[in-house]
Amino acid sequence: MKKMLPFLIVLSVLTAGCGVNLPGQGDQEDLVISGFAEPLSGEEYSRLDSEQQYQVADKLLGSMYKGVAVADFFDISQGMDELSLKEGHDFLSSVRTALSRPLDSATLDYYNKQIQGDPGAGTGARFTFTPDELPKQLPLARIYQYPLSKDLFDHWVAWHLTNTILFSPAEELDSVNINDVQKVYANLVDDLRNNKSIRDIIKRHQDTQENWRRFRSPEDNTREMIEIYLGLFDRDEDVPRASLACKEWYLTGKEQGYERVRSGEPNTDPQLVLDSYVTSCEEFYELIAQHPLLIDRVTTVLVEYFFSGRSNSDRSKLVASIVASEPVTFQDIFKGILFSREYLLNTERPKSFEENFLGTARRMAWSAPENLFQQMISSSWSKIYMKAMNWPAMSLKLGRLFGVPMDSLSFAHYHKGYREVLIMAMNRWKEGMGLVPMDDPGEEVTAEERALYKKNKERYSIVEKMPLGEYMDYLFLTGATRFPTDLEKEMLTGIGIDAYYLREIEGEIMVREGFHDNFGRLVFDYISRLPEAYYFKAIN
Amino acid sequence: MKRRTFVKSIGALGVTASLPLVFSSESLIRKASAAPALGDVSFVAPPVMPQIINVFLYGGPSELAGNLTNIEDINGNSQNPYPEGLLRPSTEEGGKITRNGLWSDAGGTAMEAMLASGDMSIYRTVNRRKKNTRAHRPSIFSCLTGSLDIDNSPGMGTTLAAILYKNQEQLSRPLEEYILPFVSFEGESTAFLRNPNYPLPLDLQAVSLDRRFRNPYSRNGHDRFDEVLENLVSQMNAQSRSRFSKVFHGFETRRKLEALVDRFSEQLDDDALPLLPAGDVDARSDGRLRYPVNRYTSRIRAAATLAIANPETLFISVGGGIGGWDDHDSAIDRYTARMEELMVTLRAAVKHIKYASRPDGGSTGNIIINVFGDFGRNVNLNNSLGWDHGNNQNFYTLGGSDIRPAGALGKIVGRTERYGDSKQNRQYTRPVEGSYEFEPVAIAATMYAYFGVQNPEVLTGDTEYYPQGVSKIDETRPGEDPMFS
Repeated sequence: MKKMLPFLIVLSVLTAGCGVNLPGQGDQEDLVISGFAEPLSGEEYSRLDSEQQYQVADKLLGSMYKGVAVADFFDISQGMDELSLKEGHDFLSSVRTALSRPLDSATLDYYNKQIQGDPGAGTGARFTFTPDELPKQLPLARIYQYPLSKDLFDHWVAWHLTNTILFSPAEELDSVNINDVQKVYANLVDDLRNNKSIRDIIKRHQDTQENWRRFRSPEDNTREMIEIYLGLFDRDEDVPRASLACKEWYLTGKEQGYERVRSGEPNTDPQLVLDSYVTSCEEFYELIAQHPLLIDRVTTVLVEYFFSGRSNSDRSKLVASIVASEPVTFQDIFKGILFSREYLLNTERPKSFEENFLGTARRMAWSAPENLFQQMISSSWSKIYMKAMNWPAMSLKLGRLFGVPMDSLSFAHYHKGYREVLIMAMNRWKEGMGLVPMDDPGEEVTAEERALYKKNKERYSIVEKMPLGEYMDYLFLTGATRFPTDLEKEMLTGIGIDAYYLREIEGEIMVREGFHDNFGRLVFDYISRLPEAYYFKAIN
Repeated sequence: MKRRTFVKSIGALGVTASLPLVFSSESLIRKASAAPALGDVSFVAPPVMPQIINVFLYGGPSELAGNLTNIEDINGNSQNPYPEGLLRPSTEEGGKITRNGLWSDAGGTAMEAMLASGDMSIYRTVNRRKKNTRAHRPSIFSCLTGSLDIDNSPGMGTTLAAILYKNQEQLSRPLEEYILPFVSFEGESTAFLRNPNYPLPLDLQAVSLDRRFRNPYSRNGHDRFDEVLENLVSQMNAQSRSRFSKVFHGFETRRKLEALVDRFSEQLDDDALPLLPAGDVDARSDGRLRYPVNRYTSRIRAAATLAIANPETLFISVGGGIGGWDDHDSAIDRYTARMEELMVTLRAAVKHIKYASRPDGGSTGNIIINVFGDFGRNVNLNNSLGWDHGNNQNFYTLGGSDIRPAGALGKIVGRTERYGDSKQNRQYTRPVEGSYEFEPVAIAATMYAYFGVQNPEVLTGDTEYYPQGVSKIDETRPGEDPMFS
């Protein structure tokens, strides 16, 4: 049985055309978490059945807007009844290792040029961007395109954080512009790349103009730091004193460019704030950054999202367990969450649009349009415009407030975009999944196109020979991360016959030649109507 | 050792080590919700079913648009001066204080018109004394849940639905048969936070609509398989209903709204707007109402349109971006423009409601628009030329003459004074002694009372913070004298 690590490298090599990445100096030792949030072990993972293993893989990768195609995860050459894993029980540790390993500079450069093009070399860009929205679109493109690596992980962590109350740049405010978005995000990525501590990052971030454009007066700024980073909403009496410590700072008006400036009249009287004395804004920020509640609060904000389906008691236990392990970096907390048994086996929650759309796109080997990220982030005409789903990127003053919005209007947009742009766009996935043969594109194509051709050739040779039942297994595992029920098989077969996609020959029902894609779309359309398609599922 | 030196000397670890153990992470996780005391509600169905449009101004608007009665004192003590025109009556060149002490170009002129026509009242002393806070989250939650126990209370719209459902035998027809009884034009809203201990039937849970009645609920492609695929889905949904309930609900309402929404979008046609009396400032050349075009129009117009067209829509929540009214910096110009836009839109909406004809010929005097926010703001103009979080705020309430007691409209209630140290940031207004005032939660209590709750205190009270509960607003209070005769 092949090992997972080669598989992961295969993933990156397939798109990069680059060599194997060896562990570099940036490799990070992972925090050992014990207790309620302890990680799922490789042993436990290997005891799951293949369907469950695929669901766990989907949850782990999907949370990072990634996904693995059925044909990459399983060896399907012996058919869907004889599935065997390509990776074995090393999957979890291989992913963990990959997330700690930075891409070498040549590989990183390759991906960056692939994404944005390289005018010097005369190569075009894989994706198009809106110039004045680039700081919001590019991060998502990188997350989508980078292979599993520390670079991917750092970008994903930064994306997540800048969409929470902790680091939202708050672009919706008049005083904030797109450059602030870029600065907040880029500084965060730099800090994460250098494995800076949570306390150092928050200390730095508080004392920036970007933070002051979000929280724009001494009282506003100090109040929000206490609330956001410590979770203390009932310390109103501390706020005037804290704001005196910061009284020297103010924000100029629009005409003066919303600059954070000093009045030249610093506070000189020590102020009692949160039971300590501070005199300057810098001391106040240090107080916040070193406060014992900080790690609890940051962990809580993240646990509230990733474990939104769990009871209050369970979430409290998870926070306590992670905090007791003394995380130092944001990566510690995110990994603690993602790899925990409680998350991978016992949590069921709605997927965000990025998690579902981009994760499924990867499972389906969907060929993304060039303007994908323009559509998701900035194009109000698009069916996948996330703002219409009440899920705007880096915009809200207090971050994305309610977790994944599931009110009827938000979900209507979510479902419409997911179904009509991804699921029904058959021409974007039929080749990647191997449902139709592809013509040889020749050698004068990009590495990505060449890789797609190779995959198609491999997969089509298997898929075209699959009996109907196994073909439906293949479609369901891809679309719903589970096998179909007998009822579903029976009913969809009936619909497929009526639709002329299937036919009966000598008592055996099979897909008509040239209709694998149409029948696939019918099955995916059905799956997109199931509530479960919008959830990360619990295994237990 | 000086305090400052002490702080520096203990360094980072010292700061951490010196903090008391009162900071516990237990409180950081939200508590579970509990049901309000629905069983204790005394309910008598009202003769006319009200319809409430709840416009919530996220961020906490300053009260000054509706209250310049203390502006001279405020300006004299503010760290930064107010524009000179704000200190003079609007009858003088460049002056901006209207007869009733409103800010003329921050909606004041529109408000004066609505007061004069008996379509509006302003309460100037919505003042939080119980469990006071100046933080956004607890303020928003207490306003929109109608409770001080914010972690254990469903939204006010949800509580209203539960009351009516529980007492539906007193209604003319079952509540479950109403079309779109609870609607949000702001997506997920705190006003509709669910009550896990008293789940409502699907039809009574809030639906959110597009403010232009666009229809994203429809599906394109594969129409010929729609019915058979939906049949299969329904056969598979036995476990989805409970296991994937949020999305299950989303699909169910999608199905319902797919056909329904287009019905209301027709009502947004400009030619469907009512004819106004001759010479009305909001009339087009053909005499029909003209809505202004601004950031508030689509939401408020959609809410008014829906309420008029569908008397069975009982509670509508309307909101906007959280940052909208959080005027910490450069406040004067932005706030003035925003308030002006809001009030001229509300003036149009009030006329829309007042002069509209309902399909059944019924009165629209049962439609009330309530407008308020998280909290009021300080009145000191800080060094970023904004106002920081305060307490006392205005409550603007419009329409609903068929529902309210006599004399409830066309007045301003509540008197205030400036309080706080001169030239310091934390200066704010507060009710003068003897002035009428009420808690923000009283707005929810009043709405429950309109719908027939005789003892709203049982809904606004809680075991921990205020057991006796908050009463409804006394709408019979006399208005204040004008600031200028």
